[in-house]
Amino acid sequence: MVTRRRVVAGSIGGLLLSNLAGSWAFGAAEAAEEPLLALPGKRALIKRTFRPPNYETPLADLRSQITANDSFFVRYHLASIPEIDARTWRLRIGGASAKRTLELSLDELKRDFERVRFAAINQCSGNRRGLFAPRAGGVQWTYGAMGNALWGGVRLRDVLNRVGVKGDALEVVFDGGDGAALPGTPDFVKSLPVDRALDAHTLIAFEMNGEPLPHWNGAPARLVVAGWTATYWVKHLTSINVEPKAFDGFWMKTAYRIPTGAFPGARFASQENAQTTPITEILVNSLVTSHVDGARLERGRPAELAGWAWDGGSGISTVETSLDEGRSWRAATLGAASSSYAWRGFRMPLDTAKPGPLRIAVRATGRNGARQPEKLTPNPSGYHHNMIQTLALEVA
Amino acid sequence: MNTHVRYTAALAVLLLAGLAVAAGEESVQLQDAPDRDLVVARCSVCHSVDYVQMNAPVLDRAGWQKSVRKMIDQFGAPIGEADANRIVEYLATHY
Repeated sequence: MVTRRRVVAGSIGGLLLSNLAGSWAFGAAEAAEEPLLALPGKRALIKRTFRPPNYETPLADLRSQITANDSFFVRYHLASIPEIDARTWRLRIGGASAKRTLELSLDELKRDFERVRFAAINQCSGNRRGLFAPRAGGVQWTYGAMGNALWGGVRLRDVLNRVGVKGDALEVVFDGGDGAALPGTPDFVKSLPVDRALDAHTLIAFEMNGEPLPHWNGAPARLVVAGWTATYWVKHLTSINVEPKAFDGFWMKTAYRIPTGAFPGARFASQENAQTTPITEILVNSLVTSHVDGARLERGRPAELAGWAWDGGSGISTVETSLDEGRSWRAATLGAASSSYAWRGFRMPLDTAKPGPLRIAVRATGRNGARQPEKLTPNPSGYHHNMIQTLALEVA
Repeated sequence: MNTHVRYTAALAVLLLAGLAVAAGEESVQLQDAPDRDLVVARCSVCHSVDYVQMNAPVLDRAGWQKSVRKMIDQFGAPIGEADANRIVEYLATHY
């Protein structure tokens, strides 16, 4: 077992912009051990739980434009995970609002529909949950329940048009091959509003970074809902049903919900009530990958802050950094964006001439005008952590 | 039996019941105290007990109570009232 030091969330409250003091406060880091373990076919990742397997990508593996398949994060809700033989796998498409039913093999899926490929962020709704203050129950992810990959497959809408979508269609329901140990545990089944299912950027994907989907990331085929959080990206797809009514399973009606009206993002009207609504789009966010909080810089040696910024698909317009606790902001240099759903690199030279602390805040703004907030919006499940990241570096 | 043997025995019961435990999972050791084996036996039917350690900084007694009720009421864990109370007591006392 390999371990590494990490900075835990205990001091995050101290990192919030204080309205009273009007200045950034940087809390002292508290260190804890965290195991790095390898699942079969994966590199060593941060183990959150063994069963069901929940493994987070270490920051060091988030430095490349494309997150490698063998270090991409793993997230399951249920412990029975099938080893599917791609040759015998079949995808069934139907439902009460489909005009026909269809059963497709992987070869038919690849052969009979137009192939599409683009880069997109796959980010768990609860990414950074472990950094919430007050804390929220659930898998205590830090920064790595996400990655940027090139997804290859076919458009879901092309497959749905093959079966024919009736006029009364409201939602499309997705089931995967994973299951629970007990019959009474709700199967992991998700739904999408029919318009999102018919969006050109919703795929049935069978390739990831040019290779067949890895087992732990949903082989042989998974849903890709570019711009929406990973809870909708159902792995090991087995059935797709077009339905005239709202799907009422646990994972839609109870889990993965946020307070209604608390966050921006697409509305999922058929699943919304006065209190709660499903989480939908990824909010604008950024991540510094070049340095960790508390890192030391050598005096006089050139240094550069670097990382990624992304949102739910509007694309990133600016990334800014502040060295004066949020009073003034300077635009960082942006890299190219391969797709509006992928992350975009940013760079900012750091002045290492003078010894002492260097307090850095980073905020990204999307083309839709949404900007990372100074404070978190509390919500019971710890979703949508996109608060401005702050780092305290030391030039010595 | 010493505690490790008892603990391993509890996981062995799960294996005999046809449940797959994940590689490495046996390394997770909950605090040795009354009802530890009950907690391992019941909770491990569906998940590794590192979930307990992971949520320890987050959940207080009320949180553990809510979590155990969720497992029974929403996830279908066949755990009676008496065992549920003992599980909550162990979790609230030791985590």
